[in-house]
Amino acid sequence: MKYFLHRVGFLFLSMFAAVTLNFLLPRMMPGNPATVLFAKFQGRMTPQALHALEAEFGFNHKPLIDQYFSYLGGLVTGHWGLSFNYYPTPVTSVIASSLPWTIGLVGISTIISVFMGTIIGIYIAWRRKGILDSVLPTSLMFFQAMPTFWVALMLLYIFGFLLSWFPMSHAYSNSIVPGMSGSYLLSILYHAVLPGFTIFIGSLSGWMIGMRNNMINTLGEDYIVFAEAKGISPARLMFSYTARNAILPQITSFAIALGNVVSGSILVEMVFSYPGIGYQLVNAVTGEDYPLIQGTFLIIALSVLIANFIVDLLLSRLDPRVRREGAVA
Amino acid sequence: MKKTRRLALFAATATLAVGALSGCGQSATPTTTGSNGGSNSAVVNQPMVVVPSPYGTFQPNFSPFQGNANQGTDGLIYQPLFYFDNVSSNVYPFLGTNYSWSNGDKTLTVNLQQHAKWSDGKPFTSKDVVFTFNLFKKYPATDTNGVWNELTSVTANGKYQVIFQFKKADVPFAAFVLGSYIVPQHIWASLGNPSKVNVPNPVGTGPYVLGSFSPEVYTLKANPNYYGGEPDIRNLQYPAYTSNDSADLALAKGQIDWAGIFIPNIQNVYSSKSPNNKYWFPPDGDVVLYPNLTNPLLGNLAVRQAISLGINRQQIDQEGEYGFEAPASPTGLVLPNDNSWIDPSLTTSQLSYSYNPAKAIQILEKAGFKKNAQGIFESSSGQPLSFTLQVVTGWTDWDSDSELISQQLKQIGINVTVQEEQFGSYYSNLTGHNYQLTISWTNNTGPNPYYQYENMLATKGGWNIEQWSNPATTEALSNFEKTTNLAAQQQQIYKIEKVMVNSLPTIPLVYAATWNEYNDSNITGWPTAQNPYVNPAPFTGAADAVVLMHLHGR
Repeated sequence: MKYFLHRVGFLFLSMFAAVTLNFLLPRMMPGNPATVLFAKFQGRMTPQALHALEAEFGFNHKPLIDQYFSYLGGLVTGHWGLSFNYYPTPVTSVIASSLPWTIGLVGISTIISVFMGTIIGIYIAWRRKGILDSVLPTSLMFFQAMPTFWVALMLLYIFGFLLSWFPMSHAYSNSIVPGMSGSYLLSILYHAVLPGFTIFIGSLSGWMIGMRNNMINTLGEDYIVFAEAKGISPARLMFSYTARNAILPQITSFAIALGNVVSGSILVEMVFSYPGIGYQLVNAVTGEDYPLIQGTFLIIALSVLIANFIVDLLLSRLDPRVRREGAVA
Repeated sequence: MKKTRRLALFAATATLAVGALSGCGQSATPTTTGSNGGSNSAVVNQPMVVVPSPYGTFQPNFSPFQGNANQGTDGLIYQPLFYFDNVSSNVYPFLGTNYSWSNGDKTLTVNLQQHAKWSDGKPFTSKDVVFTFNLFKKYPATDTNGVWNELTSVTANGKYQVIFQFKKADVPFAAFVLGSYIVPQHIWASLGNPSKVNVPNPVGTGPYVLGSFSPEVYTLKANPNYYGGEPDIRNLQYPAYTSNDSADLALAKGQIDWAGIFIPNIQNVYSSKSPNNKYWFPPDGDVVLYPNLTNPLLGNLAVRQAISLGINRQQIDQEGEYGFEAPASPTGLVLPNDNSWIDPSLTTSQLSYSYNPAKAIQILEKAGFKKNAQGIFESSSGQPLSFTLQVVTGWTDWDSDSELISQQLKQIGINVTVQEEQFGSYYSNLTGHNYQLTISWTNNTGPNPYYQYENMLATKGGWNIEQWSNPATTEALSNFEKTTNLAAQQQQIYKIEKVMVNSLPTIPLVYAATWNEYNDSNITGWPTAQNPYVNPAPFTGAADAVVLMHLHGR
């Protein structure tokens, strides 16, 4: 219980820091978002009109501390402001319309990648120095070493452009009306193949090699040798004795990966014109759309923090040592 | 990201800004809006795919009062009274049929289209026009053209006539008034502040109505009751693309029928893929090197002349702009669009730039500059000709133009340091006059050169970032505003051309191209260099409607 309270306290402290940084950072950027916005009116607006517009956009010259408190209040009540790029659409609805796509695409590809990577890692560690052990890590490392957007462009060019096996862009076909129909869901899956595979192949080797190395370390432990000597079945030895202990660092990395799901694979989304949050973030940054930048950063920061919090709790169940040490610290 | 940023920002309001009356005397002669006549066989039902620019995802917003509304809102759904085109110099009537000046060019009377209907079936009348202009007055944030700076009143005279009273004679300003998009009173009266609402279900008078919407694609369908006749292209589809790369591939593959995207290597990537992949990039402005004239060195004409002579514009076109943007005219005119406005008394050598580093050095020496130990010219008081050049980071073509200029000017003993800035700080530095040299755009090109000149050179011009203030220029502009006579207007423009050529208030580099790619395998009637009837880019508001009304199936 003490451990739990500690974690909750830490969660709130880091949330507070994230929220405050999120408020300060855009205000430290060079240039004024107001001027960017007014650029499109090509200097034809009257000062009164500019002032009226400024007021509507919420640019005011109140002291920073006042702005900070109204920002905090807005966060709690769900008033995250209006996006400048999509004015007057609220930031929350821009995020709501793009977040599910990213979570769906990146989340599912990450989970598959973790699962497959871990299983293969367990297997090749068990059969180390076998053919798979020498071929898989190096060949998959190749994909991890290449920049993701480059892999994405290659896949897009070969399978989308040259062979036309898969669609080149978007999350579903333009000719289908979104709705709970089979053809719509199939279309989503079909469109997710290339971007999903890019993310999958890009992270697979990390999970695999991580698990393999943990496994090999654990396999060298005395209790494994002892268990083997006592004649425990290989499958039980592999999963219950070795993998269960070797998987702990994987879970920590998984937490971080889950947190990163929301920040998405920005470049992959760009290449495949996938309507996710990553694209929105890039768009917001280039357009100096402060409310949207703040909104997306906040979502990203919160998801990383919350994912870490959950894994901290989970880890304490799996590994009692963590709980004790956490309580002492 | 190359130029798309610039286009997204500025093209969205191009229609608001485009203007000019091309000296159309007392009343505008309506050019046909391109009614389709009887060629029924040419109907195209298959959706025509339009990608004005990579926009990412869409929000359901079809309000003509917001620069970021989805494409098609301005021009295809909502219409202005007239559209003044900057490429063809044509004036296209939409909700207006003709207009005339009276009362010493202070009263503008406009007759309205009597057969126009809102897409919900209600008739369009002068009440809607008066209502729209009153909205601008009531909510200044929507008055993005500043029409109420110039107007005193807008009144209806019967159902189909509207009378605009101006504070003073300002003939060219009519383009901004007549180019404003008109909304229906019966819907907008209850919407409150128009700059604060999203409009998911637009009701307009234009040739198209909204078909379907999703964040990834929206469609427009032909308005069967359109007063100009139902367009042959019955369905338009606007898909979202997040980057130039993905849009370029789709374009090369023939998945897009009409686009306004920048493609660097267009022959290889696009034209060679199919004989039907066509493009036409007419100029719609200048790319200009702006000197800050309050800088004592740049305020010196000899320095500006040397800079201009020391810049190799051919190289900028070929290496910086992929050969798409030919060297500009020293007059600042956008040619060939403004051909009829060229001052006949200017000589050929005054009408085109020559690259002449030797002469540049000669001019500097004659003006008393001497080279220092580093090979950089210094003034007699020891100030070196060393400047910073601000440009937007990520606008890759301008970034490489700047590097070229820096190398070229080094050779004539002028040191230029390129400073890449985020758009926000670039823009506030320019408008705050906190720069020495910068590459920037010109605004408001229209069917006559007045608008661009006024914006760039008038003391209170919207983009007079160089801070030019010159009685001769001011007088010529104000004389232009007071007359509807073409010959008299031309005389004033000639004066400003001479100012540009002789005094170099700004240093034009190359023409700014407007991006426009189209596929003519199923559809004909596109504007081309041979038949330049309107600005062809798919992001120019009412011009899009003109193009679409000219298109037919094969």
